[in-house]
Amino acid sequence: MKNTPFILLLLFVLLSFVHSSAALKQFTASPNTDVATIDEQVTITATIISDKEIKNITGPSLPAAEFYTILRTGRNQQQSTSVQIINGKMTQSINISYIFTYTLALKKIGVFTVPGLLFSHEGKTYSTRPFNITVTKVGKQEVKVAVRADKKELFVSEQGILTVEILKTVNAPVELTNDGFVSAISHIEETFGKNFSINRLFRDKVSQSQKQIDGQVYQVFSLSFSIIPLNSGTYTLQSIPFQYHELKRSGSRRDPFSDFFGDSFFGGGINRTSKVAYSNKLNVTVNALPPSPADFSGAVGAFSLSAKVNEHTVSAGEAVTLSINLRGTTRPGNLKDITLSDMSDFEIFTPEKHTSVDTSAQGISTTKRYKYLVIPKEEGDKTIPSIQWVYFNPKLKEYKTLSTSPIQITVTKGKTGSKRQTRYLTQSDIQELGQDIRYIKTSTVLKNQSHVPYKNSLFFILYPLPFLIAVFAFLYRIQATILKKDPMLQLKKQAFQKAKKEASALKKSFLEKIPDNALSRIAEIIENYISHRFGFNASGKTLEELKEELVKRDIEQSVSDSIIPFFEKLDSYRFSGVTPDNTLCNELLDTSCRIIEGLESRGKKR
Amino acid sequence: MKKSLFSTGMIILSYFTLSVYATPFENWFVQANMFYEKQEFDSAAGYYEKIIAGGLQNSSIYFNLANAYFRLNKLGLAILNYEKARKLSPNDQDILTNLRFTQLNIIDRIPEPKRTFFETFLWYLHTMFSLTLQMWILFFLLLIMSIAFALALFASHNARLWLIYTISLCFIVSILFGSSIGLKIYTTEKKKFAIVLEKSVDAKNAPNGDKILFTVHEGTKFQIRKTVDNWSLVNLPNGVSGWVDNELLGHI
Repeated sequence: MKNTPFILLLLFVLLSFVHSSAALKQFTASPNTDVATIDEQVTITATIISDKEIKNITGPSLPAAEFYTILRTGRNQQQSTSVQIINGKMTQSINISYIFTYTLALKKIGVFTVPGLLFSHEGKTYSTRPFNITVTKVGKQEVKVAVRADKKELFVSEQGILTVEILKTVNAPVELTNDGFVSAISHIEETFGKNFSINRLFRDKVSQSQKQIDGQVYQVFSLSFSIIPLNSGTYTLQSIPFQYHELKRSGSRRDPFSDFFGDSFFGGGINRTSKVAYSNKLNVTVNALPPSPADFSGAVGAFSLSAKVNEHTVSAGEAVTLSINLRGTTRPGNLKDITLSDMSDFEIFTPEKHTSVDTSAQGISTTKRYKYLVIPKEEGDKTIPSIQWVYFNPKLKEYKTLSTSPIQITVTKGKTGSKRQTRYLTQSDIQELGQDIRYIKTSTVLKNQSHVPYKNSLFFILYPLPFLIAVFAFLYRIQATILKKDPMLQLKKQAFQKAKKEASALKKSFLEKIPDNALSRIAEIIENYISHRFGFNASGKTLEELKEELVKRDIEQSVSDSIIPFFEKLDSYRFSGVTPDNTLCNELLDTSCRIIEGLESRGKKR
Repeated sequence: MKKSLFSTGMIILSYFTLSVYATPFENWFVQANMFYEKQEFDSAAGYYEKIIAGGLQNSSIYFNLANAYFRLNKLGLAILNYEKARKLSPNDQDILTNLRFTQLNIIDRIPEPKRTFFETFLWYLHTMFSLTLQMWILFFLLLIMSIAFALALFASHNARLWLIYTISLCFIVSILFGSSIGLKIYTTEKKKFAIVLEKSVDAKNAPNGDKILFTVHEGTKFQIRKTVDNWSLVNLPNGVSGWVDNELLGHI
């Protein structure tokens, strides 16, 4: 009994091991329909059911057959767990389903057998049962696809136009989708991409038109491509599958829930069935070019060449513009640059070259424009010789040479007579001659420079300055506001300055003449100061009261004591009727100033 | 009292004029220029190097030295010294022209990342002024703002409005200048660059690594991201990076 847990654990481990090596439970495959028309798509669903997750599973292989093409594949995974309790005993099973879908486009009519799908797992190969699919004709084909080329035979480097037309019966219940067009375009580009230079001759939109065939009106969607073969040989464009949707009214229209929540509420009530229409096959034969002459430019097609000058009479040393236009039905890469023949009478500059490409439904055409600046070296009748350009004409199947007519130029005497002229420099020449480094710096102040000016202590001193100004102004403004609100405080703050100012003015007036009321004014200065500074009216008080008031305001006894004798002395002169002299007035004024200063310093200490 | 004031004044004056040199740099400079004129570029370069070794940091010396190296066909050293000169005088047209011209003569063409019109415009504004000038402009803008602020505190309503407009304008311009200064300081402090001085240098996958990631040639400019022992992890403008021996590089 003691070993029971150990035995159970051992059993569990053994069972787990057995479980992990369990085989597949089920592997089946079936089509969505046994009978289909040739324009329909058939979907085969293969299901693998396992009781354990299969890591890195790859889908079963569907053997190839002649009557179908695989359009696309898909994969899905589901998991279900079932629990059973029988006689109180619980069992649990897990099923993991791997679902693979194969969408087939049908190619032939008849009864065909789809071979069994094969799936390999842990060294074993499983197979499904084969099944039959009956492919029938289409009653009426609403969508047709036609591929045609403007030429069945091309030469290497010759441009051909490949057109894919998708014809849809007007008002047919079918829907052409972007996917259908995109997959058709990819198919063509993949097929021709290796051996041809292929370019789309349409931009974002597919061109549309209407066409009547056998009394039936079709809406035609055309896609044109320019194809330029790179190698000789015969190339086949297999049938292009074009996918579209057939629209049918849904059968559950009467269901009110379906009407409200279903498609009909959102403009639906329509079922879409995927269909495929196939194009015809197309063979293109590419012939090699016959042996070429030495000066062959490599271009194949139809070309034109022209040349002209802007002036036929110029002075020696002056420039003439020679314009040359080369145009042809090919891409820019196939249009080799022209070369001028020997023109020893002229100085020739590197030409200005401009290439333009024109893409239309008729194909690609390229124009190259050259502007040569040619300068006649000496006077006389000069000739710009004919320019030649060799190409292959595929219609005539032979090499042709384009040539321009020789251009006559009359060169008159230049600035330095009939001698050979040194050419005038054009702007580009000046630039070329100026291509050298600039000379060294010879006159310079040999000052130590720093690439880190932000580490200069001058900036450390200067930068706080604006902030200090702002802070100082702000604090000053606050103080001014406080003083404005409290006039007594303002008087108190300004008392000392005011007293000093008045004393100074009075002293100046003493230099000219002693005023009659000099002593009263001295008394007034000191009384006003005390009144403003200490906040009580000093003028109406007796000396004892004045002393008491000052003591009350914490002015030291010694200071207040010194004021009394001063006032007594002042009053004695004021009321004695004696006219004070200059010395006395100055002495009293100085004493008053000292008293004020003493009171101010004591007042500040408070 | 007067004596102490005088001596303080002299100390301050000498502090601000300490950077002005008279001899022997000026003599060497004249000598070097003479050698350059005689097309004795080796000797000229030697004298310019001597001035730099003496501790003088001046864009003209670096510029002339770079010219001498260019004439000696030492493109790596020429570009290195043009770059050093540009660091000291970023808007000197002579330096910029010679640097551009020398870069045309190096083997490697590494395309710079393309800028939009707006980025180009911002870059133009950023590089229009030297850092020193920008710092002076910012200082005066701050000064104007602080004075205008002080005046606005005591001004009447109408005048205050105008002063606020002035402050706002100065503030916006200060932000622009401040950002540009910040970026320049960041670049100076954080981004280090170097020039390839050897004819060709292999960038490895690791310091002392055995795998060559790419090869660059004399005169190519790198950004140095990291340095381990004697190896630098370098970055090209197109984003390619690898480890290069420090001895083959000249640090700007």
